[in-house]
Amino acid sequence: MIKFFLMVNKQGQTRLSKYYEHVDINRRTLLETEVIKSCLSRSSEQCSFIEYKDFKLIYRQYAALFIVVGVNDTENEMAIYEFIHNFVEVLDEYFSRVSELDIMFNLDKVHIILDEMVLNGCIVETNRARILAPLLILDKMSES
Amino acid sequence: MSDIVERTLTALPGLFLQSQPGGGPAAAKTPFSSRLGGLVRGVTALSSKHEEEKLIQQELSSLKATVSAPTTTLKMMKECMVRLMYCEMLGYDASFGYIHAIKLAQQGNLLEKRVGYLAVSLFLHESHELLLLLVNTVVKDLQSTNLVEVCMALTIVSQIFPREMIPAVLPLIEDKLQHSKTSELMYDVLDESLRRAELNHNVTYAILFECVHTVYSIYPKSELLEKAAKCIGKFVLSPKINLKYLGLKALTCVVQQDPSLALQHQMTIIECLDHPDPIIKRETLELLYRITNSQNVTVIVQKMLEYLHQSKEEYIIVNLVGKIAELAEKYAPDNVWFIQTMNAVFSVGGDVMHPDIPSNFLRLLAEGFDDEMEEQQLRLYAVQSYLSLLDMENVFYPQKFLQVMSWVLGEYSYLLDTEKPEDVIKRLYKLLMSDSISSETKAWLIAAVTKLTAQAQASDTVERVIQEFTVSLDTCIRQHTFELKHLRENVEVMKSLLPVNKSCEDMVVDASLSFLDGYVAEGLSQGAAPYKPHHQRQEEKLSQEKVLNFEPYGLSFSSSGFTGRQSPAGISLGSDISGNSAEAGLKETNSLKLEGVKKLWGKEGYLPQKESAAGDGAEAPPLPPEVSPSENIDQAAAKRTQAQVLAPSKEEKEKQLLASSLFVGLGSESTVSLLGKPDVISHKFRRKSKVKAAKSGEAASTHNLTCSSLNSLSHVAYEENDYLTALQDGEDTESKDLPLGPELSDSESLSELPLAEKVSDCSLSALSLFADSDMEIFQPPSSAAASLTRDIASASCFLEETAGDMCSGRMEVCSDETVSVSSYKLWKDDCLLMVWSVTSKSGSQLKGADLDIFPAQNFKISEQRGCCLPVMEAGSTKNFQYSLQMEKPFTEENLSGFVNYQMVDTHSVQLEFSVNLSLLDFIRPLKISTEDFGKLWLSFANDVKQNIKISEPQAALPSALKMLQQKLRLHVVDIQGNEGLLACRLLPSTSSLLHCRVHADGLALWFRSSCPALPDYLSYQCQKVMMVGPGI
Repeated sequence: MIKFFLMVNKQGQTRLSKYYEHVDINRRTLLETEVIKSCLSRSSEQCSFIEYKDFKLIYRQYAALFIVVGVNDTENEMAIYEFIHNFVEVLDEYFSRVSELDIMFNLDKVHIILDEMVLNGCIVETNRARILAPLLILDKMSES
Repeated sequence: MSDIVERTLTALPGLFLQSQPGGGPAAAKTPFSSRLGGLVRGVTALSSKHEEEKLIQQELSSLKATVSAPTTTLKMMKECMVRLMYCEMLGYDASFGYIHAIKLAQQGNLLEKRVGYLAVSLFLHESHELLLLLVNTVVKDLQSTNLVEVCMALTIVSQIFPREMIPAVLPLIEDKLQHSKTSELMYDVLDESLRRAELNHNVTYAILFECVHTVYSIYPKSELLEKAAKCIGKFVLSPKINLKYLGLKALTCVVQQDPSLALQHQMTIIECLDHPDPIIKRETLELLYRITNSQNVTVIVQKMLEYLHQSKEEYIIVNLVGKIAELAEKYAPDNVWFIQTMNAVFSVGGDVMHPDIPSNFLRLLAEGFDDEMEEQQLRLYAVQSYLSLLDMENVFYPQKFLQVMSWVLGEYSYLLDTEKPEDVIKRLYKLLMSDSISSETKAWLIAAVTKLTAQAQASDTVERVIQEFTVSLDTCIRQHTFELKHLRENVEVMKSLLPVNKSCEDMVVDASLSFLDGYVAEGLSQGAAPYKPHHQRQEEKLSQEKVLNFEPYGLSFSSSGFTGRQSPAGISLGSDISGNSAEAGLKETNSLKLEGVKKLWGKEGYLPQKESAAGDGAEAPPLPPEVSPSENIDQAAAKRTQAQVLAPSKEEKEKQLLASSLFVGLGSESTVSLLGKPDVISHKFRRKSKVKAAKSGEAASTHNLTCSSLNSLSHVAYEENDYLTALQDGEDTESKDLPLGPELSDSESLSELPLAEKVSDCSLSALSLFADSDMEIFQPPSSAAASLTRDIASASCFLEETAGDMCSGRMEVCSDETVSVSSYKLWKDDCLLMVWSVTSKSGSQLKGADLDIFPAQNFKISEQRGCCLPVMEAGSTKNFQYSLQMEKPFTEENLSGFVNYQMVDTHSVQLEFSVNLSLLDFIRPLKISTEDFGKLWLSFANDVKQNIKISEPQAALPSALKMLQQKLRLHVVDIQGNEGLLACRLLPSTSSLLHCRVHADGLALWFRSSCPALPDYLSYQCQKVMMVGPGI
């Protein structure tokens, strides 16, 4: 099960955070700092999974942006690893060549996309068209 | 189809009641379904919210009346539930119906049950307290043979079960997953997935991993296992680091089922062990942990310790330290290694490790094991090792380690030849004066000093300790010091209080504190409030707060404990800090599960040429000769791997050496050892079987008390002869009518089990069903009717013959076309008597029929010879009796045996059967007086408390006690106001007492016994009885 989903840049600034299990608001900052620190300490020869306390972190780096997913022991690491890429591809399609700026200025939309893909900590949809469909409808409604 | 039939059948009574001409299923449904339709139409026709509210309230009040009316049938109830759901959907509270939804799920047939479950899932939420009442139903349905019921139960579990209830159903569900039927459906899908996942892409690896995982967790199919193993191999050997990780993880999961896989990849595993990436290393250690045995334990633990020294993360330390301690206790090759490993554990794990680790270690030292010599040597070595550790300058140890040291030094310094107690005290004093010692550790140290003082002659150091700490600001330390001071003034008392090497003996303490009676009486006379024990205060508080007790599953939870580490839960009379064996009496329940460890591994190592580096020479496996043709493929494969790596550089050689020491003891010979002699690699520290006779005088007197009260029981001695004559008489009763009903209910008052229960299985209820109903039901075929009569007849003969003994209904345990074997349990006063009757179906004479029981380790079985009556011999039935005594307590056990018979002119046939026996079969009422109860109560150390919620508890006490009396065979000793006392004994002579007290919303049960496991078991049974009992 997915515990949290983070997008943090190399400077340690959180660009998006979504928790699927309640974490106290003031403990979140601490956790995010520690998480990004442990990701930055890894080299590209090392594997993309980290043990962190009693859960695992799966991370991928896109330019300066890290996407880190915290999962519990029962989760399939490789599936999450691919899910991250799937998510980025969806963003890429929606924003046509996504950048960190897109994510910063369209936080709500990124959240909506993520919500289409993950429910209650479980991956529920991976089809790009179906993920984007509700959002595109919303967009159309607000245009007209 | 069957569903339709079912519905038609259930609709029949309704049809008859309304005396309408039947019109098929559709007609039967109309009157009910139209009510919901009416409601829906009514609501849609309304124009305002106000009107809707009026209508729904009206509907709800009529529903309320219907659901609580006793005449409401389940069929009607089902329909009510649907309407209630509709009301709740519209937003109106229908909480009065929740309990009925649960009842419907319990009692209904298929469709009704489904609706009951549906309503429950819609009405209740995860933390709703009524869910507790559902557990039994779900557990029952999970065990049902009807697939539909099982599916319902599975659905409700996934929908609504909260975390705390999962353990109650988990084993059953896991069982379902392992079922071959379920698995068969998955084979094709898995096969197809494995075949198509050739694509070289990450996500296919993810899917493959899941497939592999599934293949190994369902009912095995060799073809798939082979493919999965190949897949794991691909992962492990992949140069991609993420895949390697996945491969290791998969190996870790499956290695216990398929050890040969680890052998195949041993060189890769060795490489991963020195991998620069700590995560890979960590996963490798996890894998090694799973394959540890007594031969490779030293190497594996060494690797783990190396990793431990490098890591800083607290979580990793706690986790690894726990594993090392577990392995060390299980597989330690010798004393020195064990103590040194534990020293490392305590030094590194220090104050973060699980508190069970030091207490388990101390318990192991204290209780000792089978070999007396070894035991003393272990203790001596521990003492020596700690002394040398303490002599090192400028080394700081964690507090927990110091506490362990001080306890061991206090208890076992007497084993030293070279040093006097005084010397040890000096070292302890040095520690006491150090600044880095916490006050808790100081208390341990002073306790150790106190113990040693009892052995030492006059000591200056002790004098100094007393001077120093009688003025300590810490009250606990000050108290301990004063105790020491006063004890020193009376050496005799001190020696008897602190005997040498008696840490495991039970101290007899006047738990009632009777010497304070005078003081208490004085206090009471001056108007002080009477003292309420802690639990009572707690309960009162609880009942005021109306908090639900979430403990009822104590037994089922603990029995599934995975690590065997349970924290002690008994009462403690003194302060634990004193370190004074406060754990006495908990040994059996909390002992390490040393025997439960699966031994999948044989004895063959990896490199035949090399001497095993692990273990000592004696334990090293015999070097295998050349590959014999009988060796299986796995092993051959291992040898091939070995051949491939036979171009040895020096580094390679080292790795191979490591491999040989790591993988020693893994291999394919395990099957041989399974078939032949049992695995001889025994655990070093095998616990003693610990039912020691009490030794001290006082303990003996307690024992006597128990015995005398047992002897005072009004034993009704049943001579076997009586029993036999009765059996013969039973023949006559066959001709009589069956006047069972009224007699049965009359005799209920005294007997601990109502006689009605005795015949529960012999279809009496079916008979009454025929009698009561006005309609015709299928007439059972005549042969069935005949057998029914025969059953009842023979049951009745058993009833009469046994006069006071309880007997179970007849149950067929096995049969074939010629004979059928059925069994009865006879709960005799001093044993359980099992009676098997072998009946020839054709009525012809049985020739040479014989019955034998397989020996079972938990029972003492003795055959009651001569019970095969000549009369019976000539007839078509032959009876065999065995009296059973329990040797070792257990909760549930199977007893199996076989029947051999020979029909005229055929060869002999053998039939196997088994019966299930539970601890309950060995529970008998203990008839004692209230006074004896009080005495016994104080003398028992093991207790368990339990709160059970019941409705209208004030009125329920008598019925609850009666139920316990009937179902569990407890003897009701006394009832005083809202409290009840019950007693029972576990054959042959272990007693257990129960104190029930009614409070505002439930029943508080408090069990005590001399046997540690018994209270838990009884409380579980009580709970079971109360939960399914009437009055919900």
